[in-house]
Amino acid sequence: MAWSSAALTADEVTYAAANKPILVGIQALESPQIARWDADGDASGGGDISATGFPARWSYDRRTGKRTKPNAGAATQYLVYQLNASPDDVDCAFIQDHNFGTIGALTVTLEIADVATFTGGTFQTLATWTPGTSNNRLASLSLKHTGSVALRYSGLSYVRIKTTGGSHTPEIGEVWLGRRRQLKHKPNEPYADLANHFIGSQRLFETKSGLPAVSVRHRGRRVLDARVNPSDTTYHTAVRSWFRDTNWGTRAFVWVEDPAAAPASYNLVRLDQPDLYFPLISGTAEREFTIKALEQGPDFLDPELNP
Amino acid sequence: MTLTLNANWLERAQRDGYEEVFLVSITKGATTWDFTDQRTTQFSYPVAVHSVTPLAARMDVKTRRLEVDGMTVVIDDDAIRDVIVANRLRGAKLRVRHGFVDLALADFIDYWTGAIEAAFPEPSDEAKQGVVRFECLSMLEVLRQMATMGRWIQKHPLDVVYDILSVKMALPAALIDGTDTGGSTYDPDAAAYSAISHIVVTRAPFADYYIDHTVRDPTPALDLIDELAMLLNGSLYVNEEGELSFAVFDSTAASVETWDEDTIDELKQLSLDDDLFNRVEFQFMAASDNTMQNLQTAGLGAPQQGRWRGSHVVNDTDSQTNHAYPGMTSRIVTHKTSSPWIGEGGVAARISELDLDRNTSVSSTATSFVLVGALAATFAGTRESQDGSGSQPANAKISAARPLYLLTEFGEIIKATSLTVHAASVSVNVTYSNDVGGTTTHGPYHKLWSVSGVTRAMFGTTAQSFTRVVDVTVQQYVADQLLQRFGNGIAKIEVATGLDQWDKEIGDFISLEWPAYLGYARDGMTAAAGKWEIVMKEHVPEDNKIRWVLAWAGVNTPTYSHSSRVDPWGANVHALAKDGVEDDEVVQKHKSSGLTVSHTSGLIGSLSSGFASAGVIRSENPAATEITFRADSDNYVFWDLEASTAGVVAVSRGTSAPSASPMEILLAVVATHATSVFGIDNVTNVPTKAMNGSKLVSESVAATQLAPSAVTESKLAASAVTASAIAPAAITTPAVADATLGSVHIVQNERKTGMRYNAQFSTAKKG
Repeated sequence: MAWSSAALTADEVTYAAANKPILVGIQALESPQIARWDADGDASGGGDISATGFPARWSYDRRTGKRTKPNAGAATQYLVYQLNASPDDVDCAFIQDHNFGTIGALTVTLEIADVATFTGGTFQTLATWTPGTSNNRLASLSLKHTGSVALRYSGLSYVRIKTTGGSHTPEIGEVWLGRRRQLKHKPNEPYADLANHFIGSQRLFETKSGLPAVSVRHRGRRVLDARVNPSDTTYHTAVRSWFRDTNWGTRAFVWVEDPAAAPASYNLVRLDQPDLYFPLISGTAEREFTIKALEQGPDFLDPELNP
Repeated sequence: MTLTLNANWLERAQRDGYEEVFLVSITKGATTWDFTDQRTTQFSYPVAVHSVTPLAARMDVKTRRLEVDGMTVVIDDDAIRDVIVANRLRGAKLRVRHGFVDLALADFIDYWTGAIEAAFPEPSDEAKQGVVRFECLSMLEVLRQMATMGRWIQKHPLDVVYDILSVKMALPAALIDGTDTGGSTYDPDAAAYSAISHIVVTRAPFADYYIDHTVRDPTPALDLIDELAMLLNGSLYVNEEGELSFAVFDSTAASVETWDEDTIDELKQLSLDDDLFNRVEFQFMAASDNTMQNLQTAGLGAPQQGRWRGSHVVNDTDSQTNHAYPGMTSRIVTHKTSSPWIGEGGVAARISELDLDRNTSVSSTATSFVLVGALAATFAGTRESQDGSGSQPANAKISAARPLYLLTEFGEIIKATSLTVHAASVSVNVTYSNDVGGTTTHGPYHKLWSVSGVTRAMFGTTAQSFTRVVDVTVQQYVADQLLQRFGNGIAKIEVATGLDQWDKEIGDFISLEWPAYLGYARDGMTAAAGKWEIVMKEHVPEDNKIRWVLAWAGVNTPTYSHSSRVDPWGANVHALAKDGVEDDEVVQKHKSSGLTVSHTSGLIGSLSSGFASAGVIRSENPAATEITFRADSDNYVFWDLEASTAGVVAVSRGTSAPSASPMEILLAVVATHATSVFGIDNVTNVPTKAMNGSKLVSESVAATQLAPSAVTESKLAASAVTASAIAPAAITTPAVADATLGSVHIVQNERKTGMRYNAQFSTAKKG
C-alpha cells in the first residue's frame, strides 16, 4: 500500500488556528502487523529487541504508566510499526510518558515509508521534536513531509519513532497517531477550560488531638465538563465520528484544548459514561452534546507542566 | 519483632500529604517481574497494579497462634499476560513492598511476602483490557498446606521447629529468620531462651517399651510447630520479609513506644477481662492409643507395668475467689490443654543404685534419688546427653533457675535443681523400622539419672514415699505462664494510628497514655502502669490508618494450689474431664445424693452409691464401694469429682484435717484403732445443692420482685405451709394490714341436728 497525503480542510485549519478544541478518538497504531524495537529500524529483518517484560504493545494501548523500552542502549533507537491492513487516516501525533528529557539532548522523529526498510522516495519524516531536558508530553498537529501546511495521511504502512543522541535507552508509555475531529466553537459558558477544574483523591487520618496524616492517591486531575452546540452538519458529523472513533465512548481519547496556542497541552481523557446524547435543540440544525470526562492517570497534564 | 524502618521511608510517612506506592514483585526462579500501582520518580516499573489487599495479621493471645491473612493482588492483564503465558506461576514468590512516589527503591519497606496459590484472569470483552487476580498464601499458610512426618528424640522444641523448617520442609535459608545471618532465633542456648533451654520433647518409638509417639500420619507442619510453640509460650510468625521467625512472650520486654492522643484517634475498650481462666489442666499420657502402657519400671529390660494417665492441675486460688458468683466462695474456670510431645511416661525411682532392681520406695524425706528407665532420657534437662559421659551444654541442664518438676504416683510434686547421668555405662538404644525396609538405631540414651537439690512437697502437696515419677516440668511451666497472665483475664483495646507506626509488629509491647481508660485499679492509663501487647494489626488504606488490637501484657503473682496426679491403674482418671467440654466453669461442688460411708468390719468400710456434681461435671459412684482404712488414724474420705473415685487420706489421730483439692469433696472422717473402725463422722456440712437456702439472705427477694400472683394457690402443695412451720408470733398484727385478708371465712362445726340451710358458715369481719 502506498501512502498519500492531503491538506486538511479549510475549516480544520481555520478553527485549529483559532484554538477551537480538537477531539482525537482514533489511535492508528492499534492492531498493528508489527510493533517492535528494532536495532536498525528496518522492519524487513532482524527481530524485536524490546526489553523482556517491556513489550512494544504498551506504546499504543491508550494508557500511560507502562513504558516500553529496548533491551540495550544505543545512539539511535527505533520503535517500528507496520500498521494494520486498513489503516486509519493520520493527521496528528502525540508522545507521552517518556524519559527523553532524563536522557537529554535527543532528537525524536516520526518517520513513515511504504517499505519495511524505510528507504526510497516514500521514506519521509513527518515530525521532529527536540525535548531537551523535558519529559513533558510531545505533540504535533501539523504533520507534513513537505511544504508548510499540515497534511492528513492515508494508507500508511510503515511508521517508526527514531531517537538519536548519545547511547541511550528510551522509554515510551504512549505513541498516539490520530485523526482529528475539529470543533468550531469553544464549549458554552460556564466552562472551566484548561487548568481551571481539577480533582484529587486523598485519605485522611486524624489523631484525637487533631494531628492529620494525609495519603494522597492522586492530584491535579483535570475534569472536562464541556457543553457544545454545533449548528451545521459538518460538525454534527465530526461529533458522531469522534464518538465512533472511541468505540462508542468506551476508549480513551485526546482532548486538545488550545491547538494553536499549546498543542502539547492536551489531556488524555475518558468519558464518565460511554454515552452520547446529541439532540436537536433548536430548529433543524442546532444540536447540543455534553462531554463529561476525567483525565486518565497516572500522568496528569497540570502536575506535569507544574511539578 | 519491631521492624526497622529506614529514615527516608519514615520521613515520607510523616509528611503532610504523602503519596504511597505499592511495588509488587513476582519471582520465578531467577527472574523477577516488578509492577507498581503509582508512577514513581526514582525508578520506572510498569504502573499495572490495580489493587493490593491490605495486610492483616492477628494472634490468639491464649494459644499464641499467629495468622497472617493471604494477599490478593490484581494486576493489569496487559502487563502480566506474557509472564503467565511463559511461566507456571503457582508457587512463585510474590513480594509486596511499600514506599512513596519519590522514594528510592532501596528505601521501600517489605509489606508482605508469600507464594502465589492461584491466578484468576478476569478479562474484559477486549483482550488485554482486563486484569489478573492473584491469590497468595503467607508462608505460615504454606506451612499449613505442607504435611510432614517424623520422629525426634530428646530434642529442644526449637531444635524440632528448625528441623521441620529446614530439613522436613527444606525451606531455603533465606526464608528462615537468622539462618543466613547466623542469628539465634532457633538456638535454644540463646539468651532469650535461658529460662526454657532445659525443655525436652520426644516423639519416637520406644519399641521395647510399647511407646511410640512417632508422627506417622502426614501432619501439617504448622500444626506440629504450633504444638511445640505452645510448650514455650511462644509463636512462630512470619515477618514482612516472609521469613519465618520465632519469639516467646516475655513480660519483662521493654515497650517500643508510648501512644497517646497525638498518636491514636480513639481508644475502644473491647474487654476488661477477656480469656479469664484460673485453672490449667494439662493432660498427658493420653489414653487414646497404646501409649497408655507407658510405665517403664526397673529399667533393665523389665516389661512395662501399669497404664498411666496423668493430669497436672494448677489452680489460681486468688482468681477463683475473686471471681465467684453471688453466694459462692469460688468460681473455677478451666483451661484444658495437652501435648503429645511430653509426658511419654513414668520411670521408677530408687533411693540408690543398690536398690535398682528392688521394689523399694523413696522415703518421704529423701532429697536425692535415682531415676531408672529409658524414658528418663525424655525428661527435661537431658538434652544432648548422648555421649558416653553424659556431658551436656550448660543451658541444657537442670539448674536452680531451670528446675525439674516430678510428680509421684501419690500426687506429690518434687522440685529438683540437679539432674545428672548416674551411670554412664547404662544406656539404651532406640531402634525402629525405617522407611527403606531396614532398621535404624538411635542412641545410646542414658537410662539412669541422679536427682538432687530436691525440695519435697511442692505447691502444697504432701510428701510421701514413692516408687514412680513422671516429669511435669513443661506442664508446670505452661501452667505458670498461663495463670500469671490469664488469672484475672486480659484487658483488650482497639486503637488506630497513622501509617508512621507501621514498624510495630504483632507481639511488640506498647505503652499508653489515655486518661479516660477505665478498669480495675485503673482510673486512666499511663505508660508507667504497664504494657500492652499487639495482637492484631490491620492496614486500612481507605481510612489511611492502621488498626490495632492490644492485649494487656501485665502478669500476676497468683497463689497456687495443685491437684495433679497420675493414675497407674488407669481405670477412671479424668474420664469426665476427658469427655467434657473444652473449657468449663464450676459453679459449686456438692453432693447430690448417697455417698455415705459406713462400717463393714475391721478396717473395712463401704461407700454407698450416689452422685456429686460441680458445674457441668456430674460424678457417679454407681455401686457401693469398699474402702480400706489405715489403722490408728483419722481417715479422711474424699470423693474426687473428676476421677469418680473415693480417696482416703489418713493422718494421725487428732491432727488437723488435710485440705481437699478443688475437685474433691470430704465425705467422712473415719477413726480407727489398731484393728477396727471405732467412729464414723459422715460430714454433714457438705453442700448438697448447687445453691442452698442459706444463700438466700434477708430480703433476698423483695416484694417488688414478686409480681401479682407470682405464687398462686395451685403452686402451694397441700400442707406446703404447716402450722409447725410458722413460728409462734411469726405473723404479728402489724404484719397483716387491715383489709389485707378481706372477709374471713371461719369454719364452724357442722351442726348435726337442726341444721338450717347454708348455716354451716357464718361471715364475720376481720379485726
